[in-house]
Amino acid sequence: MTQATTIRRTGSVAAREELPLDGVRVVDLTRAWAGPSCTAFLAELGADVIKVEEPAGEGLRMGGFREVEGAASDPSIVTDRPYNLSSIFNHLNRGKRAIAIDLSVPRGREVLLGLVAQSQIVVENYRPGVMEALGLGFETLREANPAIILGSNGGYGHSGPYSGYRGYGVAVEPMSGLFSVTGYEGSHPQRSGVDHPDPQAGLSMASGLLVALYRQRRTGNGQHMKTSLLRAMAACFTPRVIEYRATGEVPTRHGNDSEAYSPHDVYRCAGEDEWIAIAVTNVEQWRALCDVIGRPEMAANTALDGVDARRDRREQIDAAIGEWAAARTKAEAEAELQRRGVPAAAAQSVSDLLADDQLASRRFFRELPHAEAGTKPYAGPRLKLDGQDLPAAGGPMFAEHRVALLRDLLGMSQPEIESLDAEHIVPAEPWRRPARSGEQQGRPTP
Amino acid sequence: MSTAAVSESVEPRAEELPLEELTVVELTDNVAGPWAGRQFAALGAEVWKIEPPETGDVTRSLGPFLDENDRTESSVPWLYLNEGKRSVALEENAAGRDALAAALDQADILLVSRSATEAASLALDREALAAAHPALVATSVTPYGMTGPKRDYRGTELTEYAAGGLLYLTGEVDREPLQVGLPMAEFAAGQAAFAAAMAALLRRDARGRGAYIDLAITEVGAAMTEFQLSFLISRDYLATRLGNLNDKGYPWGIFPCRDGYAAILAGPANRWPQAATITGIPELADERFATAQSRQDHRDEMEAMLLPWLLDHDRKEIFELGQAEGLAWGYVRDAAEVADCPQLGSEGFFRTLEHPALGPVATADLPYTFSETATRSAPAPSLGADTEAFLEGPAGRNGSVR
Repeated sequence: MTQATTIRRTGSVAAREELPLDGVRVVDLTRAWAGPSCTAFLAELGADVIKVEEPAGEGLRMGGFREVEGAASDPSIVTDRPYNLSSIFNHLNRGKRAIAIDLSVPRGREVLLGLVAQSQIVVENYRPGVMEALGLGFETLREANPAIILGSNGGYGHSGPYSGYRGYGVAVEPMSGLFSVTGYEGSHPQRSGVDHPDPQAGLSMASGLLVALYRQRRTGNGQHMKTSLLRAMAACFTPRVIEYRATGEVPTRHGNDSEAYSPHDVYRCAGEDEWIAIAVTNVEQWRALCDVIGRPEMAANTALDGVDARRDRREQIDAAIGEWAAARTKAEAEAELQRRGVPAAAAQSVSDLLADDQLASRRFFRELPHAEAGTKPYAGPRLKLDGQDLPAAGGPMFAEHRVALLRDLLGMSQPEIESLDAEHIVPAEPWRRPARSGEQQGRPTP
Repeated sequence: MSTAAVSESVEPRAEELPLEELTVVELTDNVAGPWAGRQFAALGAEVWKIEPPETGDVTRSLGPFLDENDRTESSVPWLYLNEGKRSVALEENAAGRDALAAALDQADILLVSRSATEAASLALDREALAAAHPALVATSVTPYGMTGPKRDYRGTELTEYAAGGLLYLTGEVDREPLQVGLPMAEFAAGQAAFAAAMAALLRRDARGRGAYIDLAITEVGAAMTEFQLSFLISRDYLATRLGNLNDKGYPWGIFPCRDGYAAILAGPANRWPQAATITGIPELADERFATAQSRQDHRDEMEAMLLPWLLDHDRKEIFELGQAEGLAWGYVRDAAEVADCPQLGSEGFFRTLEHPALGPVATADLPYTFSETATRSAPAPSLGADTEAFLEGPAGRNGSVR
């Protein structure tokens, strides 16, 4: 039994050997959000994901909030390993095994290629050219494993005029066109609250990799799959380009309005910053809505049966809904409308998500243990398989699976493993190469 | 351009389609399910889209329309999301259900977006499918999933975005939450559904058993709030609407400039001092703006320095100046600018399809590319165009209809 099996100890309902990606091993060189979200999804589906970090640890280990606050005053909490306590790192890397390898030295590359030889997929999101510069280009990976699939995600693409540019989700999102069509009526462009490019590219990457794996299982041939934050978002924006190309008109911003549905808006409910979103998609729902809000005369007015007619009378209709909504909580409003088949949902905060009974019933959040960060809820798998929950596991500590991987997968002896640590090639603790001579080497400080 | 970029741009692209032998039956509407189906079609699978005979898929009713006189065949979302599929107009009566059941015996994949109660009444629920079609990979994509107290709740992009926690985070703090201008909850869910179906297909080929995937669009949405969730869980920090700022740092969002909006961010973090060089404002490299925390603490002071410079420069210039210094800046582009994006152009991303009735219509390739296999595109089908072929083909082979 490898550690990949044993770490999946929590919440396991589906039998381990029945997960879709059982037997698929992924060498994960990605950092930040898009890549790790891709491999977290693959891990949830059963893949054995080996997260390979730089010797100092992935940057995000020192980013975001620590999972343990006030640790200094509680002697039972380990505080000298802050790199194990980043909440967002632990979340994004849940279910993976972790090792750190110095890829800039030949022995480090050898270790990596040893892992590649025993895997089906390698994923990376370095800037274009970095893999080649490291001596780890696709052809080299292929020599180590002729059937290997390489997945590369970039900000703007791997060739072309912007390929050398740095792409972060927060800037690629406006470059994708999304903000030009996001905003209150007549007002300026508005950003999304979550930065969509990374999660969208992560899922796109997972998709491309699994298509490549399907073909590899049939033909024995690997290939190089590429995506980018820009391309993943542009695929969602394309309908606006079709519209522009056909009409010559540039689509703009229309708040919460919809041309197809009416009413279609967000209404204030009782309480502080509480809102209900309502989208009426047909006349039956319109009549049900009128009934729920106590305005049967509006339902009886057949002049309002059409979407365009209701949009023309929006101010009046919205006022009626607004008055009704203001007198109840968002949860009450949602339940009353949905009971009658009207699409409506409370605008939930992340705090509401943690308390949501639907998400709870589907075990979307899992309480997962972490040796140093404690037990916390993790947002989990977003699907059920064969009526069962997918298993879930927390994020790995720095180099947590170093020994297991070197010994069990690569067949190394204890002295070899120790020398790789002593030489900081596969370190047991984070190590940063000194920038100049005379500077003290050792662990990075927080 | 890097040397790697040059060598990769001449990679040969084979004509082989990776999913050529697959048959997909699609009973979905809106965006998520069709987006998953569209990828199967582009990768070579035969995708049979089942539609109600009178109105067709709901997506056909979503504007804008390229031909006001024939809305059913000219909805932009419909045309984009259903490229390369075959349309089957099928009543949901006994004959229709028989035809569907026969086709599901031949199919590899079912994409379905019916609520729990509807699915059960059509024998498309998990138990019925597992009993009748044990090798089928069934993928259900619904607003709330097939279990739980809200399993029969209805949803649209707006309400899914709300239920998933995304709407609350978008917009100005003193105004109502705001939808984004693209159906991102649906697109993300469609992408997750496609990946999950591919994973289950791999298991089917390895072990001979089908699968039932129950994917909830609101959960895919909720999963995208993972940064905000981690802020709350670890530090009791509740994210709310921040306008065009971002709770991941400062500066980290879009800011007004001379001809629109530019994306300015302190990323990569170690490059931030270059902002002083770019703007000619040496103070930006000061120690007091050196860390993420100190930039947050001195937000107003920094904004007072940055804004006049931004308002004196154009979007594209700001983007290029930032990128030249290794800062990942960007700008707000509209549809015309995205359509002419030199990067997407160099990838051949946007394409033109000849539609039999509408003439040339713009479209795009998939979000991912392959070194060894191809993709294909063909216009979306007119309503019911392939009903006969379906009844004689996948639905007819075992004789349950004819």
